[in-house]
Amino acid sequence: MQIMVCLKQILDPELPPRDFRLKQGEMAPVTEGIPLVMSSFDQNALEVGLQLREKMAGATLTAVTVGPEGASDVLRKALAVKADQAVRVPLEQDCKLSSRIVAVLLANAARQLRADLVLCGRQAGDWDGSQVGLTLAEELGWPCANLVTGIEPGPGGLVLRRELEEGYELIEGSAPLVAVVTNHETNVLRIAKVKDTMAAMRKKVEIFEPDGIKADLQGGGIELVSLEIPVKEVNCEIIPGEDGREKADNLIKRLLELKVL
Amino acid sequence: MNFELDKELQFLKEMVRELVQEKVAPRAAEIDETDEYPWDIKEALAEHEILAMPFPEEYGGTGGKALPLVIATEEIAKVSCSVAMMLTGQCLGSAAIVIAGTEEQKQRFLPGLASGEKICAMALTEPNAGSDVSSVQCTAVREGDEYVLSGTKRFATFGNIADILTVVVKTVDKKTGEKKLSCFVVEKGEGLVVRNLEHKMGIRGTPTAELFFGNMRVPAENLLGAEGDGFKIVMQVLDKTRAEIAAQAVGLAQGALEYAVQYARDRVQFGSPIGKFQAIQMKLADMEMKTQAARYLTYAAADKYDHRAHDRGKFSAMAKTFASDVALEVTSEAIQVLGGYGYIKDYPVERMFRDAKIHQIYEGTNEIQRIIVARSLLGRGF
Repeated sequence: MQIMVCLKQILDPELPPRDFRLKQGEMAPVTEGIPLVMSSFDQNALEVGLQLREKMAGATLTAVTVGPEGASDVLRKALAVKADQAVRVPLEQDCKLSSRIVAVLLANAARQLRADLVLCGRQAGDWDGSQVGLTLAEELGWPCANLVTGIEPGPGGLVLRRELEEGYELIEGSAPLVAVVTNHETNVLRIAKVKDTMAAMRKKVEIFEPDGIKADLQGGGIELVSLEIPVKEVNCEIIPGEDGREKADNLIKRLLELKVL
Repeated sequence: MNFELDKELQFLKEMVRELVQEKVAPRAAEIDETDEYPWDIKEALAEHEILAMPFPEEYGGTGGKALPLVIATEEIAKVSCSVAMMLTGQCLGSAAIVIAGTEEQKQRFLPGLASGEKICAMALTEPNAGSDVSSVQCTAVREGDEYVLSGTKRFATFGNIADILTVVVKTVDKKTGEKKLSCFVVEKGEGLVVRNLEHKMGIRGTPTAELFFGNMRVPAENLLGAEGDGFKIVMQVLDKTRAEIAAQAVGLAQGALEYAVQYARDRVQFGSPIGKFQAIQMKLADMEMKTQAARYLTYAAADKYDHRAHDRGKFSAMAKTFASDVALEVTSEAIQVLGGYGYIKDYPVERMFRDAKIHQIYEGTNEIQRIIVARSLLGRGF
């Protein structure tokens, strides 16, 4: 089985809000000097893929990303936890790159790799679009299972565990298939070992050229029309009073003055 | 000349950080409080091949280069110097074998250490021999195919739990009575007694043992190098491991600095975060400058060791001395930035300050290191 896992490089979500800035006159964040990491749900997808590969003799796992050369770092991380190969579809990344374009590029990569199973994270940790997995399945014409937390080999192909509000369900599926993965205690991405980490830098990242695809799709799908950092104004006022009752009375008076009540 | 770490080392740094955040950070305060060796963390370090880092690949290690070692050590020490010491201890205890061992000795001892299955330690210091290595009084007398070891060693880090010890003794020629400093690999067993464990102010959880060799019989093939090679081997070992001690110190300083910066952003006094006050800004700037300088000196020492540079000994002495002085100063200033909160155990800078002090003392006191540096300038006659 050929397993393909889609990975996105994003701004570190742990970044303090004060360090998040937008480029002057552009609808894109400043990335210079900001740590970039693998999107967290993609990490879950990668772990699900690694666990499945370990249970299926002969299975291989390919990590794929769409983005500029720097995005190869997420592929190196995948190689460090022993992905068999890595592919980058080179495209200058900006937030105007619609989910549909990414899905089309990933679908092309899946065809080129002759993938049987494509795994994606539930949503990117930066823009929370939740579009790529489903659009990719549509593009490939494959069935899609959503909110998957684990996959096991089964008698009929694959058994997928899906998280529900009050429990989980097991569903059977067979390749080809797209599975959109969500987080669970069983799919936290493993930490690499020293030798694998250092060897990952020496492994080759394949390049799949997007040849003309971006131009064909410009203007299609969802368009970003505005991007701003909200301005938060916080004014703190201490309500006076000798005791709780007096403070409560004063608070009500003040709220009435402000027309909150 | 490029002062940036190459991509491979950056990746290593991130990997170690990830491991440390997951496994070590939640336990750091507890290890200090209980003063118990964290076996679970030893397993995690072994599983992720951190403990394999001091060893060449042919013996199951990851390469044994000094620069990756100091980078990993620094990253661990940012969170727990005690855990960083677990890596340094594995390096210190095995370095004599790596440097002076025969192929047979390396094949016999190193793979078990590289896998982390076995722990090692170095037994050098004695009640009357610390900085003055040549006054070692422990003896080894040859009897047939064995040596008989006698005497007391002090301050052997991990000495009580080590499976393998490298021990520095004086071999005694029975006929002439001549004594030569020599180095042995000793496997724990009959004749080796742990007499006492020290109660230390810092790096708690790294047991420091007093060991007594009571006519312990050691096979003659466990002698490293030849009789009389001991001093040379010890000096070579310390040239390597001093850079790691420097890296521990840099990690401590960096950890304390980061905590102080975060605190200065969050702590509000007189209506402003204290980071807006120049008195605090000056402190943070000095802490950053000194830590960065210590880091580059440490990396230079490690790089020189890896390239067998002629002045590697001087650089490891300078790095260890400078970085340890910086660590004590920066951790102290971090406490000052936190004020009263810095002085209580609820905040990690108190532990970092206690951990920092030992770096001016172990692996050769800073006073001895300064003599090494001065003699490199003045010549051997001084």
